[in-house]
Amino acid sequence: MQSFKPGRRQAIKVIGATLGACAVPMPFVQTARAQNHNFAGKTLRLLTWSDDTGAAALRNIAETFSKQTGAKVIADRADGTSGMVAKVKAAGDRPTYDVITLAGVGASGLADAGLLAKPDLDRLPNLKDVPAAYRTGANGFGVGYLLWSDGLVYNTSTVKTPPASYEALWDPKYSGRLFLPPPEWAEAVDLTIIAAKLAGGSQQNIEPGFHKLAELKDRVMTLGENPNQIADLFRTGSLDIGGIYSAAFFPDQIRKPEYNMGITYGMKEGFATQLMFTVIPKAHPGDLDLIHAFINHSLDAGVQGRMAADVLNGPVNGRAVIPAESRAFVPSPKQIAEKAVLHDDKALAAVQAAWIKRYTGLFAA
Amino acid sequence: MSALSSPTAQPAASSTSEARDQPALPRVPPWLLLAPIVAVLSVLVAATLVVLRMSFGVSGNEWHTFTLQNYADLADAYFLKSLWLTVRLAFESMVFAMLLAIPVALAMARTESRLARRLILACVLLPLLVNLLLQGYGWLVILGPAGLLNHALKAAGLAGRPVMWLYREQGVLLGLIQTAFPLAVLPMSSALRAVSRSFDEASATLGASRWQTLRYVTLPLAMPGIVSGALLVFAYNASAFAVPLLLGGRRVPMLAVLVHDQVAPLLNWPAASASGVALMATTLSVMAISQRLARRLQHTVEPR
Repeated sequence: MQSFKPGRRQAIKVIGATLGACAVPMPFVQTARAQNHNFAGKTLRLLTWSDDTGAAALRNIAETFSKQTGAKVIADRADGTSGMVAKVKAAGDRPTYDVITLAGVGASGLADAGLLAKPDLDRLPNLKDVPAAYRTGANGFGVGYLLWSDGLVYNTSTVKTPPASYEALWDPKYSGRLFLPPPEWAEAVDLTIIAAKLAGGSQQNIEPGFHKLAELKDRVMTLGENPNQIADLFRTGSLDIGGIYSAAFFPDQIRKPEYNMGITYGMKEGFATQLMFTVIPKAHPGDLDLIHAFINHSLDAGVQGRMAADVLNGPVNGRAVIPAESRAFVPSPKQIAEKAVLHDDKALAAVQAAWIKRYTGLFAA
Repeated sequence: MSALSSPTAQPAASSTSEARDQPALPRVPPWLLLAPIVAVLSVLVAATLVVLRMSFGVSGNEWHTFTLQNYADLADAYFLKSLWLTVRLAFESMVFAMLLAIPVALAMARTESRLARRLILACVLLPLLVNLLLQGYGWLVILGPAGLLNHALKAAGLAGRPVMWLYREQGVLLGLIQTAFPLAVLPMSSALRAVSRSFDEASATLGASRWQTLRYVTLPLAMPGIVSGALLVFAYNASAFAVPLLLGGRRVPMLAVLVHDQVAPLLNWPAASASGVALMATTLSVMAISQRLARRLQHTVEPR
């Protein structure tokens, strides 16, 4: 009995300790569940794009979030970032949306107008897999969502080896069969910086960039305002190369062999990216736990991989696995870590208006 | 005694005449009949006033600020060049559209066959029935580097390399002429139909050739319709957006395209509004001047 008693006591202790140990992480388990399961009957109002990107967000993020948590996601869709900004400005103090996904310029504009609430990054555990540069932006009001990635688009039937440098745009053999981004796009700003760097300048010393771009004036066929037109010009064999441009503009055509389109991010100078954001309006109808759970879900490695594959943007989550069929069109997390050059929204917004004028004047036919 | 003259028949007759005097519809004050058009116009006027007010605002705080800076910025060579290009292309498209419209409008006005007139009308109206974007894509198919025109030129041995009209001013001009063509034809055709044929006959009797009759009789008499058509084409094309965007490939910076740039991505609505107001003012001024010139011309042709 004597010897049994300590054993029984020991057993009780072990069981007690085990239960205690089990009890200790319970709050975290509860928290994790709260992120996933405690939102049945609650509603989140999302504002996103009206194009394929928005449709993919609904399919890959909103639907899976609803399945996992029971929360209802009501989506409103706007035609582009300016449309979203207009809607949020029009809503003013009225709680209309809980979460908005939009481009950097829109996030900064809304933040500057005092219309956004800062997200609590501690409530976004998936951020641990996101490199620090892509976690936040727009003065801390935006959470990185996807990386809009620009590469060189080339004709797979006339350009046999993917270009390894932006100098390919200045190759005389592509004269008249070349396209560039239109002046009002961020891509034009990034291309000007790339040209400046090629010519020995920099973002701060942009003059050499405009001089180098001027060499292309008579060689460029079009400034690719309309991605469908660009895709069709590749299909008919009228274009050899162009950029910088995103595969996200023609996610369907670029996968079809008859369009003869390829995209490369393997330039030795790196490739340009723009961080897209998720933001929370200051006046939001839904509760903050639900909002943070939704944003955290959008950063999940699986969700990021599927979104990247669908919309052909780079994932911000470094552990995202991109489905095999889309890998040729999307930069991998490794390429992003090594070669991505992030568009500096704030600094470039200050010069964009002036650069648009110069770029427009430069290429006016 | 007839039933009509009988005392019992009189009240019935008077009630019938009263009923005949009453209008079919209940009496409505005349101003109420104008209500729908006033409602529509007031929305348009309100929208214009909003744009005007916004053009004096500061970006980000449009409604509570006042500045003339947005208008001062329009003195920039970038906007002036774009304004000049816009006015020039609108004017050129107006001239070409009117010249092309004359034979079509004459045919519509002078043909005896109803069927022929309807067929011509249907052909003329087609651009208005087809979406502008689709028309733009049609031009892409025709003018593109691998388009129908280049195929034909290549097949005929007239061009070794593709002729590039697309993404150039020529392509935009073609698009502007084609999309605005109905606006040139329809007022001109109505005006020509209103010119009595007896003038033609009188002119012929006096020995004028057909060309002289057209030049000195028919067209001057139809001048009000021709001027209306020309002004419509000019105003329509001065604010063109889709055509220069699609056919210009962003290399033909007409003003409406630059206004769009101010809205997205720059989100500078006051600057966009100021550009819009400048475009409106320019278009209205050109229209007013043209109308005055046309009136003076008409007075010269028809001396009192």
